[in-house]
Amino acid sequence: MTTPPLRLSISVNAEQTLVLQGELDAHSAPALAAKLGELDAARTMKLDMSALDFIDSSGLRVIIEADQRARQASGSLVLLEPSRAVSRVLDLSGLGSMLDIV
Amino acid sequence: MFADSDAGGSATVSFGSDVGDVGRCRDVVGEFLTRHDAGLDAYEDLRLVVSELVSNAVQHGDAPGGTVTVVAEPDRFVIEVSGAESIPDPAALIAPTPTQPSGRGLILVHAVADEVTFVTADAGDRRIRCIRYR
Repeated sequence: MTTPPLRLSISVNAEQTLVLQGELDAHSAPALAAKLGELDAARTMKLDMSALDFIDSSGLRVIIEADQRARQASGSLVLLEPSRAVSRVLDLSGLGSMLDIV
Repeated sequence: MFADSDAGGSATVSFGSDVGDVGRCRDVVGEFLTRHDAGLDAYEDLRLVVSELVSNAVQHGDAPGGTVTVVAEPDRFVIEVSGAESIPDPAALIAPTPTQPSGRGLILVHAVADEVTFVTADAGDRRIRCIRYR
């Protein structure tokens, strides 16, 4: 039996921002990790999260690791417009004050 | 919907050994909660609980799958997820440091559930039960 389809789509817009749509969980987190790994950590990586309906700790892990890579390379990771559901999880995990969120 | 069963005040959905099953579990629980008049906070929080517990069971549990059961009671919702043998005693949980990548899943579950307990149905069938008051 094939694995269920990923519920996350990742696209890159004209400003080189990664636009996330759907749900970021243990199933889809590796795909985001792979995409983030392709980016230059020494630059500003932007994640548009306005269309992300769901995130759990698996998604948080990928974001934290990317944030750490960016800081170590003197770059930055910026989260753009997280939805209500995502903001709640960021705040509950204590990451709301640690990550760069606009 | 893809629930195994949905009889009035409860629904059950099973998952296998593929972490891709977790989305369907969230769907079934979310749809049940909506039909049983859960508020938006409870809806979002309990889908998070299911996602964390099923992911844990699939990725770290010994059993080749398990079940999620959600029950609607007048004053609360109860969610039970099987495959909890590998989950440590919640009293031993230590909050991860801010920069630590892992360990947040159960912390989140405890943060949004009003009660988190373990239930042993049969030998080898240890479940984690989460209660969220309406």
